[in-house]
This record gives sequence, C-alpha cells and structure tokens, in this order.
Amino acid sequence: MEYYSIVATWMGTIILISGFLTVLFRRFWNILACYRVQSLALAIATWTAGRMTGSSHLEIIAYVTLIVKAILIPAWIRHVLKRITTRTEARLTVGVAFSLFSAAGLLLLSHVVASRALYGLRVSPEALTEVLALVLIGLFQMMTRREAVTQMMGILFIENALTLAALQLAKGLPMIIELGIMLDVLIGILAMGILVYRIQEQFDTTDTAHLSTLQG
Amino acid sequence: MLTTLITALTIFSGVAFLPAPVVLSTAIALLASLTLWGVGGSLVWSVLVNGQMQSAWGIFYLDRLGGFFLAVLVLVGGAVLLNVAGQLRTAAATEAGHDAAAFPKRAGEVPMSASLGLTLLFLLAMILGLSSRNLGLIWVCVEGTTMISALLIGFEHQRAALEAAWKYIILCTVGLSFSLLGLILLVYAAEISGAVPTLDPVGLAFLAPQLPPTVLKLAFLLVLVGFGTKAGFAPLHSWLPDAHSQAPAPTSALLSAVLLNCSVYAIIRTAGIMSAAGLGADVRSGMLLFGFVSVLFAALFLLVQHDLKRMLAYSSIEHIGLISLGIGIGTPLSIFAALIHTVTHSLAKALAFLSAGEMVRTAHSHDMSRMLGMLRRRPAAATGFSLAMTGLAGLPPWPIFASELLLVWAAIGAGRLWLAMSLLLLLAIAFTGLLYHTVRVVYGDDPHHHHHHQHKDGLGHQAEPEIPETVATKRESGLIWRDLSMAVLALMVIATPLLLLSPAAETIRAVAAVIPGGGL
Repeated sequence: MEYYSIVATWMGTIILISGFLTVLFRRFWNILACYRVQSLALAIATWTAGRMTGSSHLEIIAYVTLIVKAILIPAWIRHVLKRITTRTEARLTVGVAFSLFSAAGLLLLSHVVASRALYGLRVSPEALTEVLALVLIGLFQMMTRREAVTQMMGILFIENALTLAALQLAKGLPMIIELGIMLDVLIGILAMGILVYRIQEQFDTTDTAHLSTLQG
Repeated sequence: MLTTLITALTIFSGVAFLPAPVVLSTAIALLASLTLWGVGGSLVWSVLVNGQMQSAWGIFYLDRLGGFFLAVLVLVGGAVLLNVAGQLRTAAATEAGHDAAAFPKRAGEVPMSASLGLTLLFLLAMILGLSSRNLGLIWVCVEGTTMISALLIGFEHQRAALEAAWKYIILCTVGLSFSLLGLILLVYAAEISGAVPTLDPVGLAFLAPQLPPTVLKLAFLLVLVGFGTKAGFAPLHSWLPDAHSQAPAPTSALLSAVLLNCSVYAIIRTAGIMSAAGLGADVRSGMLLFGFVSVLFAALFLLVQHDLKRMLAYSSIEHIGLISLGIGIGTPLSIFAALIHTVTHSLAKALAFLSAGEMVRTAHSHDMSRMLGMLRRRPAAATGFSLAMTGLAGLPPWPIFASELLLVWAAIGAGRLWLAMSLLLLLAIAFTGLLYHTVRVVYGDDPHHHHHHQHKDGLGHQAEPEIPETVATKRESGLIWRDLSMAVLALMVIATPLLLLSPAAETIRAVAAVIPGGGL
C-alpha cells in the first residue's frame, strides 16, 4: 500500500513536469517525447490506483491508456511528422522566459480557482489545481505555437489532463465512458492527421498563420 | 424501437463505406432515410404523444425532452439523406462526363460514397447522444460528431474548406474538453460530499441539494463554455460561419439544423442539475448573457455579409441565441417559445442550406452579388429559399414570428424591460438584413447574366460541352432527388404553423415542463 501511494505521487509529479516542459520546447520531437512520458506516467498512475483500490476496471483502463496513448498515438504523430518534412520546429510567438512565467502564473491562477471552489470543504485543492493548471498550460501551448502539429499535440496534452482529472477527482469514470473518450481521442487524432496532410498538400505549409482567408 | 433504429443505422453506415456503384449508395441513402422517418418517427411519436419512456441496453433512454430533440433530428435527417443521394448521383454523373465546371473533380482517392457513410455516422452519433441517460456518454457522442463532421467539411480538399475544417476541429475539441472537465467536476462534487458518484442527469438532480454549490458553479461554467462553443454562442462562435459555409450543402444543413440543438440539449440537461441544487439564477444569467451577445453579434454581422452561406450561418447564431434567451428567461412562456423556435428554425434552416447549395451550384459562387435573379435561373431552389427565409426572418404566417413575439412578451413579463427593448431592435435589424439579401438574390436583376449570354451567343467561345445522353440522364436523376429533398422540407416548413395549434402545442408544453422553469 505504502509503496503504491509513493508511486502514485511520483507519477503525479512527472505528469505535471512533463506538461510544464512543453512550453519550453519548440522542436516537434521534444514535445512528442514529453507526451510519451506523460502518457506512460498516466498509465502507471492508473494502474497503481487500480491496485490500491482493487478495481480491475482501472487496471484495464491503464492497459488501454498504455497502448493507445503511449504507443499508437505517438506512432501516428511520428508518421504525420515524417510526411510533412518541411519543418521540424514550431515558430514561437513569445519568448521562452515569458512562457515560463506564464506557466507559473497559470499554476497560481489554478490554485486560486481551485481553493475558492473547494473553500470550506475538507478537501485538499492540490488535485484540482494540478488538473486546471495542465489544461490551461495545454491551451497556452496551443496559442503560442501556430503549427498545426503542435496544436494537435496541445489537444492531446489537454486530454491527458482530463484523464488525470477522471482518475484523481472522479476516481475513474464508468468503463464505457472512459473507453468512449479514448475512442474519440483516437479518431480525433486520425482525423486531424488527415487534415494536416491535406493542408500540407494544398498550402505547402502547416503553419496555421496561413489559414486566414475566411474572415468576417 | 430505439434498438432497431440504432442497429439499422449502424449497419447502413458500415455498408456505405464499402466501395460500391452509385446505385447501391442511393439505395442505402433511401433505406436509411425511410428507416429514420419510419422507425424514428414512430419512436418519437410514442415518446412525445403517449409519454412512454423508451430504453435500450440499460444505457439509452428517451424521455420527452430527448424525444423532442430527436423528433427534429428525424424530420431533418431523413430529408438530408435524400439530398445526399442526389449529390452522390450527380457527382457520379459528373465524374463520368468530366464536367469539371459544374462539380470540381476531387483529387483524393476516397470514394464519394464515403460521404454517405460519414453522414450516417454523424446522424448516428447525434441519435446516441440524444438518447443517453448519462452526461459522459452525451459528451462522447457530441465530441464524436466533431471528428466526423470535420472530415465531411474538409471532404472536397479545397483550401477554404480545409481551413474551416481545421479551425472547427481544434476550437470545438478544446471547447468540449472544458465541458468534460465540468462533467468530471460534477462527479467530484458527488464524491467529496459522500454520495454515490454518477453522471446520470436525473440521479445527479436528485443528489444536487447536498452537493457543494461552489464546485457545481465551476462545473456549470465549464460545461456552458464547452457546449456553448459547440452550440455557436458568441463570442465563442468564430469557427461557425467558416464551417457551416464551407461544408457541402447536406452537411451544412445537419450542422446548423441538428448539431447545434444537440449541444443546447446537453446544456439543458446540466442546467436541470443546477436548478435542483437551487442555483437556477446562475444558469439563467449565463444563458441570458450568451443568448443576448449571440443575437447582438449575429444581427450586426448578418447585414454586412456577401457570402450567401455565411449569412445563413450568422442567422443560425442568431436563432441559437434566441433559444438560449428563451431558456434564460426561464418562464413557462419563454421556454415554450424557445421550443417552438427550435423546431421551426431547424426545418427552415435545413431547407435554406439545401436550396442555397443548389443556388451556389448554379451560380458557381458563394457571392450573393453573383447570384441575382435566381428565380429565373433555378426556380425550384429560389422558391424553396424564399420560403425558408421568410420563415427564418419571422414573417407573420410562420411560427418564428409568434415565438419571437412570445419571447419579447415573456421578457417583459419577467421584468426584463431593457432586454425586451433591445431584443426588439436587434430582431428588426436581423429581419431587415435577411429579407434584403433574400429579395436581392431571388428577384434581383443580374446584368452579368445577360451579358454572359450575349457574349456566348455572339462569339460562341463558351459553348456548353457536349454531354453524352446517359450522363445527362444520370444528372437528371440526381437533380430529382435533390429537388425532392427540398420539396419534403418545404412541406414540413409549410406545416409548421400547426405547431401553435392545440394537440401539438400541448405536446410541446409537456416537453417544456421537463426544462427548469418550464413547468406551470
């Protein structure tokens, strides 16, 4: 028991740190590596939670997470990245220092929101803070990088944060919903990858700053 | 019946993805359309008229509210499937005849019939969403529609369509993640107050009084922003005019007439939990704010549009805003008006998008100044279009006139005078904008058109290419299907005033009673 809760704490930390690191990177491969690490940590955290509570449903979800998020999705993104060979890094619209400060600011904001929402309840706001911060950082990452592929990865990071929320806050959603969400993510990433191909074909770039003909 | 409907549509969509001759695709579309009207129709009839709950496999169920939204889906969906059949036949004929001008040939290797498969999946996801007794499952289905419809929008590989599809999938997915977080917070609220965690809206409403209100408020805010993005509430609507205008006509019709309603449905379900917790005032102010801002944005942007389908998209934002206002005012009268508004808007908007698609095809352009005098150039489409637009603008015989008046009346009754006054002004602006554009497009005099003809007759440069007879027949058959779909929708729009009469109005009042504030 003791051993499992230590692992769970460590995994929570790894998930938060790998989310934080993404605001510093601009190379696609580094961001992808962050995602892989985060998904792996998420799978392990789910598995240990399943062991701690003796729920076989969480263990199954952990294996599915491992296969879908740590193997299938990164492989598909690798495939997409190899086909759009034009560039390997995103143009940042803000500096690294600013990104780091903003991420810290978002963490603080999440803490304020979480403590206010849970004010007067005998619950620690840590878990809610972590989830909110990860969602906001994912959003920030998407807004400061205009590449289609990094936007796609931003969605993946936000989705990981939601899976963490389902695990830590809701103690696991019903199996059919967890699997449904996983299926949505998988289909979504496939659809986005196909769109990225076509955008590359038609526009000769995947910089979304060029996607600006429709206005008003 | 619910199980039959779901199973049949699953099989049809599976078969539609197989590469097959166009005859088979047409047959599937026709069968699916008849199934939707037959099975779906009797299903919603038993739910709405007899008040029977329907359930399937333990996770799906339909009450009056779900039945009402499903009824709109069934009516519109069947007609749209007929239109898809027509589009497939025309595309097949065009590919055979290499008539590139009428229908640009696609570069991709995806067979055209895949668009039928995607349309069926799209409908299926919405049916599952409307009939789930679980907010998480509703979310999964609504998010699923994002992926499917994004592929439909980007189906033609054109630059503008790809841009629209990309913005749509990114913004809606991010928006919906917020609402999933909100739903997880609902479970969390149950968890920390020691109740059995659940995502069943009825069960949560039952638990609601003992849940912590601060967590509930944060959860509802996230749900409202998330599903509100997908419902096209201003200022979260920036993807909507792009996506709805760039999609192929049948997809536009489904996006505007059905999918927006599904998101509103999810919001109403969550609002029920909030009201049960005594937080109805927060729900109302949120809905009022989004509703008013949407009507404001849409009315102003309607006026300045040049693109026909963008104008229709802004009109959708206006009407979704009005529906949201009706729920936000929160009296039985306003909710009744919002429901009447939902049905009539969906039917008229589907007709508007299908006929606009025909007009775009005739004019080879989305630009309204290039499609003047459509009554002469494509009479059937122009007639359908003017019928739809008078319905949408709210000219007296059509129920939107009544529901808009009822909304203003309900706003005054609820003591929101400023809202009633500004609403009247905005409605007048939107009315003028819609009718101005409609009259111009339908009756306008097109100098280019005459000039074009003279030029062609005089010099003979742009003579129509010879079309083989078989191709012409096939194209004719596509045209018949497309015209049929418009005719069916036109009949439905003509029948809408009946909604205000006794049996139908009673049924809608019973639906309103399910929505917080709607009961007498």
